[in-house]
Amino acid sequence: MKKHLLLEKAYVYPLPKTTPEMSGYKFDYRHGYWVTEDTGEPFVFDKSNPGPRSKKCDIETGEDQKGE
Amino acid sequence: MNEVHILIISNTIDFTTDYVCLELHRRNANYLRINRDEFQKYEVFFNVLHCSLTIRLGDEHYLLHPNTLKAVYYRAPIYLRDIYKPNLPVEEQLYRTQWTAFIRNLTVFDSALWVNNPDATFRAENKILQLIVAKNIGLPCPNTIVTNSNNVEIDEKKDYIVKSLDSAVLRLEDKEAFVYSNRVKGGEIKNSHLNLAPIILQDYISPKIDIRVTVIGHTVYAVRILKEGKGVEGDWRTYKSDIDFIPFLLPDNVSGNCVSLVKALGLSFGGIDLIESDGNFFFIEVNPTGEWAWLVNAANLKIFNGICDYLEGINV
Repeated sequence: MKKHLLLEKAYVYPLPKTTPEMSGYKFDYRHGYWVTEDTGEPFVFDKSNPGPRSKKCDIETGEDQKGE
Repeated sequence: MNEVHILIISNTIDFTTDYVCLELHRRNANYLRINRDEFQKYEVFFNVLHCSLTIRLGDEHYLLHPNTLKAVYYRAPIYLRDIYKPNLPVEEQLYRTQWTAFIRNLTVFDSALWVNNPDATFRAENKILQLIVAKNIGLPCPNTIVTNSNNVEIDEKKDYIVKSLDSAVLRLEDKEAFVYSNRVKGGEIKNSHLNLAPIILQDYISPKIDIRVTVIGHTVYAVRILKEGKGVEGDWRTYKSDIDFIPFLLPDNVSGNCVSLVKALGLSFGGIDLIESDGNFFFIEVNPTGEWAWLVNAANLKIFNGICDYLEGINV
C-alpha cells in the first residue's frame, strides 16, 4: 500500500543527540546561565561552542516545546 | 528571602534562556530561572490559599507572590505528546506528568505578563485559526485547503506547498524524520495516498523570499532569508549552511499587522513566517514557541533585549 504523502516526503536523519557535551562548563544557578569552569565566561559567548542554530538543525527544542 | 519579579521556566540545556538571564543579570533584575529537568534540586512550597510560592535552592529562598511577580518567561512544553512509553520508568512518568501540571498551574499568577501564557499558546498553535486571524487583520495569505481527499480541486500542472497540520517529528526505530514544507505538483497530489491524515495544501508562491519576523510586544525584528543573495526555493530549513539572515525594516503596515496578529492570538511573543513576493507580503504561519537565539549571532539581532524589556514592562 502506498505511503501517505507526508510520510513519502518526510526528511529522515539519524537520531539526534539529546544531551550536549558540557564538560568544562558549569551551570551558575544563582544567575541562571552556563559559564566556563576556568574563566567564568558565559557559555553562549564562548567562541568554541557551536551556538544555537535554526530549528531542526540541532538539539534545541524551542520550536517543539509546544509538546515533547 | 529573594523576592522574584521575573520567573523563567526553562531547562538546563535551553541555551536561548541563557541570553535572557545574562541580560537580566546585567540589568540587576530580580529574576529566578527554574529548570524543568532539575526539579528534584528544588524544594517547592505553594501555599494555595495565600497564592504564595516559595522555592528553596540550596541556601537561597525565593518568594513568588501576585503582588510582586511581574512577568513569566515560559519556555516549556504545553503538553506531553507521548506520556506513555513502554520503556519509560514509572518514576520518570510520574516526574514528567506531575511537574508539567505544576508549571501549568502557575498560570494562577495571572496578573503577571506571560511570554507566552500556555493556554494562549495551545490555542494559537492551530494553523487554521492563525490563517483566519491573519486574513481578518489584513495580512494576505496563500489560498489554503486542509484535506485528506484526492478529490480536492487543484490544477494538476501547478505547484503547491504540502505540509503537516501539526509539527510531524516521527520516530523510525533508530532514525528520526521530520516533515518540512514540500513543493509538489498537483498531479502528484491527486495520485497520492491522503486519507490516513489531513494535509495543508497551499498555492506555491514564486518568486519568493522567506522572511522571519520575531515579535515581542510592540517590538518587531525582521530578517530576509537568502542563499547567495537570492530567495530560497522550497523550505530554507533544509539547508544547513550558506543561508544568510539579513535584518531589514518591514513596511509599517506589515509590521503593525504582525504585532496585531500576535496580540489577537492572546500572545506576547511570536515567530512569524512571511513570504515576500514581488513586493507583497504573505502570512504563512506563526509559532508561539518560535526560536530566536540563532539570530543573535547570525543576524546580530539582540532579540534578548526586546524580551527583557517586555519582561520588565517596557514596550508591552
